[in-house]
Amino acid sequence: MYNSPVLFFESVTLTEKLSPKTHFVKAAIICDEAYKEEAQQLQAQLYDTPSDTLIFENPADVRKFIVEQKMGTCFYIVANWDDAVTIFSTAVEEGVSEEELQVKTIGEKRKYVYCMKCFTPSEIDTQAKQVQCGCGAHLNVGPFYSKVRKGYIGYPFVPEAEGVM
Amino acid sequence: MFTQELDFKTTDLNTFPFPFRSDNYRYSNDLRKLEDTNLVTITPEYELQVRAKRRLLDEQPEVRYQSFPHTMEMQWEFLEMVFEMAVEKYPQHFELIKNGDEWTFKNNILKEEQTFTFGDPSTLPYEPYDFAGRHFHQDFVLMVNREDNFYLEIGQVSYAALFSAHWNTGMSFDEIHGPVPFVSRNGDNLIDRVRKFLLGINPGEPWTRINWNLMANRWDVNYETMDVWEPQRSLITPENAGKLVRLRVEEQKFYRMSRSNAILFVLNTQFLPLEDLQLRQEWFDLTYSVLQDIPEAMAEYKGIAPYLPQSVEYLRRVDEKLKNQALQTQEG
Repeated sequence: MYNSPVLFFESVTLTEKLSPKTHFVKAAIICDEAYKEEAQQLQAQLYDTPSDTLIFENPADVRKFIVEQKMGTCFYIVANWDDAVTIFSTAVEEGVSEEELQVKTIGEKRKYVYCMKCFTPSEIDTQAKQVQCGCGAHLNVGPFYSKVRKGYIGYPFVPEAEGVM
Repeated sequence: MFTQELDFKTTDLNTFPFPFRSDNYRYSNDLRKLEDTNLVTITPEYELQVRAKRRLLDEQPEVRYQSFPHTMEMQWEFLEMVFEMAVEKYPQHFELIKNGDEWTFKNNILKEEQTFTFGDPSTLPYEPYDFAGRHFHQDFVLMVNREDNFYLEIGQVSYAALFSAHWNTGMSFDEIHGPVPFVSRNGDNLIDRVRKFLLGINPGEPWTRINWNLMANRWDVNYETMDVWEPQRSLITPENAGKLVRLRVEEQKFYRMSRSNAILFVLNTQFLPLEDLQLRQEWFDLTYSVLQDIPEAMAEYKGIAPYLPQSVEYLRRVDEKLKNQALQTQEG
């Protein structure tokens, strides 16, 4: 569905530190092999809440792991950005809501701007306020994100008019 | 190439939805029940405005018209609704002949006739919603009701004010309006209140509200052309503001569609150059007073901050001139 949740730069599910969400009866942790320690730290905080952990290798395993979980399970993801997007998308496809997800990404996040001149998203530096699109248009990176367009709005501007050369 | 220079304005002031009721303006929940529930209106500018709209739709189809493939049933519902309204209100201008699913729609103003099979989009030159909308000068936005929110699933927009059918498609009501400094005099979140209000609209009981803005020598400012119109705003001076700056009024109407349960937003946009405000002294006085009192945040949000002072200065000079003339008449 076009308005299904997506993982993007400012997703509400993103966190700097994983912490147990209350009101869930079980935890299901999916992590990259390299970040097993993060998963173990979370498990230590879960006390009596039962948990399962899956080391991410491929989307098919993730799907099977998610489908097997019961209602009332909270999903925790610890992975690099690309893997986290794959796991997140698979979870959403299987009906998991953002309330049932918590995501910690390791390393660089990815951010995309959607050019309002050529209608194409492109990856940008996460700190960039102004960028030039491949089509040549200069863009101010706006605060609005579109799930349909898969990027933050890029308002076209004339550099000379704004004193940017 | 399509020109954005305004070549039309409201000429029949009785049809201009003047927006101000008091001498200062703040955002408020000003929704009221629609008295004439038929959305079709034929103004003196009908043909000019419809032709301009069609030109924009043809030149920038991706910018001006957006729909999701799953909306086809709602599109036919819209077509049926507006065509029947047109025929009911203006039988001399429009005809709809139904022979089972074989329908013929006639627009006698534009001298056009189209026969099609209701329910079969391949029998129309455009998608049903797009085709039907091209016979009326308004913008049409269809928002589908899911849970307690509305999602923009079809948009035909030719008179945008910081809006884009292309960009906003698929967005919820909250996403389209946020984050903006929308609070009432009491500090309430107006967008939330309006959304809740829309949830309660019943079929057959449409509502309306008036939105306003100023436009600097354009009839629409969308995101796609921001690099063009943004620098142009600084070209407004007190000397040219009377001709180039228009009071842009958007009469919004909200209809609950009985079959799909979606909300149809109908936006009738009309323009009046500042110099024409003198044709009604009360309108001139109210506009001058309101524009002097616009808070900075509101001016920024509306995109009028770069030429608001010049517009106010133009009105001040006219006001001074009018008062001097009145004084001289008195003395004479």
